[in-house]
Amino acid sequence: MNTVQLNDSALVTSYIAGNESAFEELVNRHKSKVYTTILLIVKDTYTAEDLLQETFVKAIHTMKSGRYNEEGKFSSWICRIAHNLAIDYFRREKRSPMITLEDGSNVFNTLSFSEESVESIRIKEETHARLRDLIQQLPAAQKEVLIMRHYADMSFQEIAEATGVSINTALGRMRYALINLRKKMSNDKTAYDQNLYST
Amino acid sequence: MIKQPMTKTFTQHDLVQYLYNELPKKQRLALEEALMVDQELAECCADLLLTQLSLEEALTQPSERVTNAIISYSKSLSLQ
Repeated sequence: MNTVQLNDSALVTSYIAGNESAFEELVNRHKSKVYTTILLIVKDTYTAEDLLQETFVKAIHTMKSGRYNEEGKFSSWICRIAHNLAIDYFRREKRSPMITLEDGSNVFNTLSFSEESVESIRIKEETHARLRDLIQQLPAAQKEVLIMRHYADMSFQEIAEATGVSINTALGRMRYALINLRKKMSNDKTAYDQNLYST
Repeated sequence: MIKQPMTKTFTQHDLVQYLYNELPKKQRLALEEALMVDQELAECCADLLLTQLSLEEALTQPSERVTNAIISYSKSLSLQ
């Protein structure tokens, strides 16, 4: 069976029926968004990887025990598990906001490694890490909506329900998150260019 | 007399919903029509869209070790 062409719902059904390659496809399809959702909340790559495992372990048990509810999207469901675990962890630990850089193995795991130089991969990863840092600087309510909508794939209605606000408030927060992020990116680029040309 | 195209007034919230494919089809089509004639709306939409696209760059991958551990765990349960 070519699992790559199946939609998530069909993959879940296939996995529950015992097809492990369907699960492998689900993991590969969603691991990046789930992992980024967690990382933006806990701000530590090692913790994020632990919570990623915990998220999928929960999902495995739910699906294998027949408790998976087919209503809604798989991506929203798995990201919601991840989001809840990350929030629980964050509240428990009350960690100070600091991003740790990814370890070398992440860089070497990129598929495009053979086509790009180590230097260009490093620069790209630094740029991406800077972007994650700018997301961290957003006001908490805006950051929360941005993570939930963009990475956790929750609808604005689901976000409104989960955060106890109206859908208009959720939309407004998302809009300000995008506008503020744009400003921060623009300021960040200016500062970066000034540093570059002053040396 | 030049006949101006009739466009509905769209809000910033509509644009955000449009970016995330949450606008009902009828509204989406009307918004796309408005984007063709309303430059201010189009610029606003483009700004939001560019930021939205850049968010994809923040996506990062977990290590292969962790991915393999998850897949192996699932397989180990199947063998029991």
